[in-house]
Amino acid sequence: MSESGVEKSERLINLTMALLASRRFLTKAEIFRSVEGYAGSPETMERMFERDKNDLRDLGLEIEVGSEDPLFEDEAGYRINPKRYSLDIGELDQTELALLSLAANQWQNSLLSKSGQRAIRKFESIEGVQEPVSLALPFVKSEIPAEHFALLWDAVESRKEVTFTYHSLQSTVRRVAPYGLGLHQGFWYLIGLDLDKSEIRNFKIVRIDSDLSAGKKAGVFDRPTDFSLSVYFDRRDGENEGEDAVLDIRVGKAQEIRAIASVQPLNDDWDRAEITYSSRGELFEMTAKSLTSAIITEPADLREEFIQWLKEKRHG
Amino acid sequence: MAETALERTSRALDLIPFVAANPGLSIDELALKFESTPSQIFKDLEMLFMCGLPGYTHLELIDMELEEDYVAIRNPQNLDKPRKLSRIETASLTLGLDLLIPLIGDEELKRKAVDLRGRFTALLNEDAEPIATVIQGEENSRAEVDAVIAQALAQQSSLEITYRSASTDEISTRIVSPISTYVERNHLYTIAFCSKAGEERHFRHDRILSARATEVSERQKTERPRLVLEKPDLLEVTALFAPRNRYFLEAHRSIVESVVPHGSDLLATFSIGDYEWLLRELLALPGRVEVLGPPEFLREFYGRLDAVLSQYR
Repeated sequence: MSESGVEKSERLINLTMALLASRRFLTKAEIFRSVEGYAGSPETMERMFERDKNDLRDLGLEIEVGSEDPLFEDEAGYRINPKRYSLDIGELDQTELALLSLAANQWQNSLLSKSGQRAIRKFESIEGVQEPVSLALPFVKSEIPAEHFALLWDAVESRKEVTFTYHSLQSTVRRVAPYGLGLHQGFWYLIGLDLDKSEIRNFKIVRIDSDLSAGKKAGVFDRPTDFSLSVYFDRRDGENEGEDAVLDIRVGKAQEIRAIASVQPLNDDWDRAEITYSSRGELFEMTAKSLTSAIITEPADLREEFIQWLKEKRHG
Repeated sequence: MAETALERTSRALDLIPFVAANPGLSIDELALKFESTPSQIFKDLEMLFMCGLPGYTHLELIDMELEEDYVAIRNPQNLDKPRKLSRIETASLTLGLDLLIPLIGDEELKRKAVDLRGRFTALLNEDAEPIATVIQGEENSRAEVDAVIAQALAQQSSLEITYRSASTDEISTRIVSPISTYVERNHLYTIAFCSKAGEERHFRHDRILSARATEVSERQKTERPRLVLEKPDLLEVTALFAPRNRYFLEAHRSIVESVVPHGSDLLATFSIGDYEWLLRELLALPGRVEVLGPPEFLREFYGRLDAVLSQYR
């Protein structure tokens, strides 16, 4: 409770209403005189107002600063343009509301799911709560980065550097200028400039340790104008050209290989599968899962590499 | 954690237009809707009673009817419209739509979703590059199978599917009754009651070779409500993983009991009913994997590995 006996929230709401109602810019003196909740010495009220103004901006309210009289520019006034205050998305029909509700409900992570629910409540503040329409669409499971996500979102938005221990092949401390966040195959990634390596890298958020922290200063770096999250991932995905391999597979077995290979009978027990693969890792994984039902026959170097790959497991 | 004055202000500003558009809700219903407590909502509304426009006579104050089981706004003053969406609220919707759009089969619905996404992206009014993006993967499902399953879900009917099992490397035919679908790591799955297994199973769509509508026989119908009370025997498997295999532990967190660093490796314990599946998965990991126990799993793992290696002699 402040000196005036009015709670801070109450004062902030009164200030919002006064700034919204005024067609002209209200000077500080007018605000202190007319808005309930401002009391104390001029310096106290000045400090209160500066904090209140920042708080309302943190809530996303756009406070315009201007003057009625161009000859007295130093006497700044304040107002909120009602058009820039309220949600204007046009009409939403029941199917559209159901789609938005489903979109908002895709998130298990607390920041995006809470934000989504807030957005839905705003639509319900225009149209009223609607009877749910079922669209029978699948739910997309993605991992839940919870705390890290909120901090990283803010760091990207306000361009703050972040520092964290990252668990990959080794556990190392990284300093990163965060450029963006990407959801890829069910996992969230941070993409940014690794300040020690001077390279753009991606970091799987589940591998970031709890020591994650952001610098206090905002706006300490600029994202390159030609940087794009989707282009970054596209380039990584498209690195490998396809290569060919030949495998012998048991009749009626090695189903995963059969599904993507061109298969010819070899004898009563074996078929020959020709396959184009883009990643050796994926081919080895598929072959190993088929156990004794698949043998890599060509090319010879691939066969040899697979044998060594298997032996690594035997000899620890 | 106690909430800040700012969080409270934010909720109070949203309460007014919501109550104005939905008169007659109880305090409890509002608390549920705003993910808060009834006493907090009551305090918010009491505070809003005191708020208004300069002048602060009864003509300028927010006016409402406030009872435990009935809240209505008589005069919201100039807070009658909801605030515009914040950047993260908009992102929650656009990213959610990005996840949904590739899964929508119906052309009309898909067009609606794409239009909506455009409308909300325009609201952001930002410098081209968003804070977060959904990176679309390859399509890992089969349109015709997806359509047949969607229809079975809508009609609550059954299907006959031929399925390629990853854990047994076999193709089987089963009668299934779909319950729901979900996407995990770019793969579309259907949870269905499987009459062959007598319980719910998860089927990955790209492993369903064919699907057609079918009638469930009387016998299968009677099997359906059978409760599976006993869990299959779970085996505790312990193994050491090279750090490069961390991704496997992340992807299968539901069966990983614990992971602790062990030198430069990771020591993980699994609790698993489908031993055959885990065996094949571990054999298919790149680099070092050392199974430590139990003895029967260890014997089987190295026996299979030697059998595979012996084919290359």
